[in-house]
Amino acid sequence: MVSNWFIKKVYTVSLESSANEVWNMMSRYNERYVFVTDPENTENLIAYIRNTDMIPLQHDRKQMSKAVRELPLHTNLSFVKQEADMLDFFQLFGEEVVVVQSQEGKPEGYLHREDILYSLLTNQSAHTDWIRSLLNSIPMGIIIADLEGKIEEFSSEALRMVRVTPEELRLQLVGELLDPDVFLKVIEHGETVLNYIIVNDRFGVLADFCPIRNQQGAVTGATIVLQDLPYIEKMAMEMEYVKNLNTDLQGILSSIYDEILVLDEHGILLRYSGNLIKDFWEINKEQLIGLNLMELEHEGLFFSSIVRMVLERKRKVSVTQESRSGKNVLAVGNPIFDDKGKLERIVIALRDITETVLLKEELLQAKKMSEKYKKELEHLRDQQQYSKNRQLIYASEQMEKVMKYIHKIAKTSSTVLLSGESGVGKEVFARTIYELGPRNNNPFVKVNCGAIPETLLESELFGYEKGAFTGANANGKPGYFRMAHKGVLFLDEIGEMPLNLQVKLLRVLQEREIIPIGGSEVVEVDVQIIAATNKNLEKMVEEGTFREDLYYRLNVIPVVIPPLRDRSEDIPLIGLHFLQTFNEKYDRSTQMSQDALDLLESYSWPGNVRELQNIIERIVVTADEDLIEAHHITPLLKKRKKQLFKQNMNKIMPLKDATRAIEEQLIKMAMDEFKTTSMAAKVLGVSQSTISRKYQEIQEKLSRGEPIGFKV
Amino acid sequence: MGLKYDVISPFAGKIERVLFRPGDRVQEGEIIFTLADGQKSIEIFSPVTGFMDAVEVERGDLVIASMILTSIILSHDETKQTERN
Repeated sequence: MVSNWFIKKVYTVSLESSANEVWNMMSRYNERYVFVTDPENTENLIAYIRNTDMIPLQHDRKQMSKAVRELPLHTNLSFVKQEADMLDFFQLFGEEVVVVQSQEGKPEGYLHREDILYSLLTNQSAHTDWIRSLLNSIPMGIIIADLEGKIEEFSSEALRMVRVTPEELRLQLVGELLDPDVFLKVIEHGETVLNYIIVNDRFGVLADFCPIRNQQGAVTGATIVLQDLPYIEKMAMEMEYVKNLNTDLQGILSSIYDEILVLDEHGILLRYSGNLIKDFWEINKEQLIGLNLMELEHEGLFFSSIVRMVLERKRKVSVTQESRSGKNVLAVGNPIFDDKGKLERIVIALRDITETVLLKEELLQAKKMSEKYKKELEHLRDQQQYSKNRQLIYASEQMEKVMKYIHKIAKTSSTVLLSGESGVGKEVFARTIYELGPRNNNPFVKVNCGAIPETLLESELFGYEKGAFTGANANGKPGYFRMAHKGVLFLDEIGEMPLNLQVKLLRVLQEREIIPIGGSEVVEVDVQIIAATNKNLEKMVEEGTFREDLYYRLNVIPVVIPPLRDRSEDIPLIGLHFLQTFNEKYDRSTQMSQDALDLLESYSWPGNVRELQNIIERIVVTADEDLIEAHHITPLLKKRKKQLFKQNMNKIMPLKDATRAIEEQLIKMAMDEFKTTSMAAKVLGVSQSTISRKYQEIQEKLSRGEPIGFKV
Repeated sequence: MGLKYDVISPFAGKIERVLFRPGDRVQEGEIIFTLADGQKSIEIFSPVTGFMDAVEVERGDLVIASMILTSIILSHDETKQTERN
């Protein structure tokens, strides 16, 4: 395999030979290497001496007289059998010299590295594949390029190192791939560049550039040997990453709305974001870079105190401040700590909150206003609802008279006493007087003297002072009189008021002042009193259950409200009004026939308007058809009458009284239903004159306010 | 989630009292902090009715002027609450 003519003869010396002998041998045979034999077996070679090691010694006599054993010996001898094949040579490729042995182990000669390479490269029969295998067997990246930089050969290691595919690599020029300047230097000047570090964002390698020369010495290409630089590569990558990060950071900083300042742990401004809060800075920020912001306190930069605060507290600190130009700025100082918890940076974010502050203020104002309007609206709606529900509806002459009277008296603030049967709408009249009167902008307070327990009535009326009772409202209670100050106090069911309170009420009416329970001071009140009762107060005075003096005090302007049966013209009107109201309320569209209205009109309505209202409501709610006929209403009315009888007949009474009562009731019923005495007489089976006489008596009785029929 | 209204210290001083904790309901006009400097001691009131957000300071903390001490999250039924007062 190895051509004989490559094998050089081996010249040997023993360890005991002198340096002079070695040198002579070298110069005589023009040999670069002289081998040293084993002193025990001269057949064995143990080392070699290089001529380059000898050259510096040759002028030194002393050195030249030294023995071989004292000379620099290279003992790393490699051996190869004469029959060895190509692959064996590849394993020895790194060696400077290789000794060729015969089959018996005798040295036949030696080979130079260059000789082996040359023989391989010039061997016509050799295939390029083995050059590739040769290249691939070297643990370094090798690239062979021509003068233009086109890549002719490369090892797989090279591919790995520069991180490209073979296809990509073939398309590229070495200059572009690695470094164009260095490559040019090698090609043009034939320079060898060693240990050149190439680092970019894809790879990092250590490269040796060597020119390839032909036999005439002209440069025909270049060999580039690459070595891995894992550490440098990592560093380079990191640097690249940091660079990108920095670019990103700059981008982020300049695109956010907040203004950001980064300070070191002493308060020195390191960097800031591009955004500026307009009109806020009175000083150019660039001038501040590298300065300690804490030293600028006197400049009026308010965040100098923030920096100090963050340093002291080691916590987030937020401050809002209005600048001289009227900008409202929120500054948030945030400390940043390193792994050991040491303060490293302070980041201050500034935000223009002028608009936000304004908007928040406006929102609060708007909310308050809307609440106010809502209240007003509700009040108005209440009033409207009220007047709609409680308006006075009448067509009768009696009511016309009453209303005229009310209009007249409403202009004064005198005490009014309303009397009338239960359910005639005394409260509606009281309201009307209040609304027509001069006090209609002030409160209207209604007190039902019958509904409040006797023991509480006093405190409700006059109020109590803080601490008057345990368990009561700790702040005291003003009482109805004080609540109705400048307005109207409506005392319903005045007849139910206990005697002891009547005295106190009398005192208030006389003196126009009250003393709250538990209080020592007299409180003046200006209140118009409207009292109402369905009782006969005169009679109560006679019986001694109502104080006479109070009665006279209340009875300044008496208003008697006639019962519904005395003003039957009003019944259809009021009935239709309620029908409409309840239709709206229950989303119905019931109508009433003329018959039905006539029937309502002929009924006696002992419960007055209230009863009428309830019956209409019942009809509207329960009616199956939209048109209400008389026969729908009859059972409701009749039933009530029967109940009346039953209720009143279940106790023993003198027969004479009972006869009279039933007579009165029957005549009243007959007259209510049939209107004329002749018809009533016919139905009752007595003479018309009897009916006429007895009915007159009944009417007289009624006009006096006395009950007819059975006493309830 | 309502709007936040900041409670700000009017001058530099020391927090002497903190009367509410985060999450507490606070009425407009209620005292939240007492702040004192060498000469005077003042009460800091809630600007709105709502709930206390994070409280940034503790008793004894030194604060600077116009520092945000806490925020109050406006509650929706805020106006009803004020009505009752």
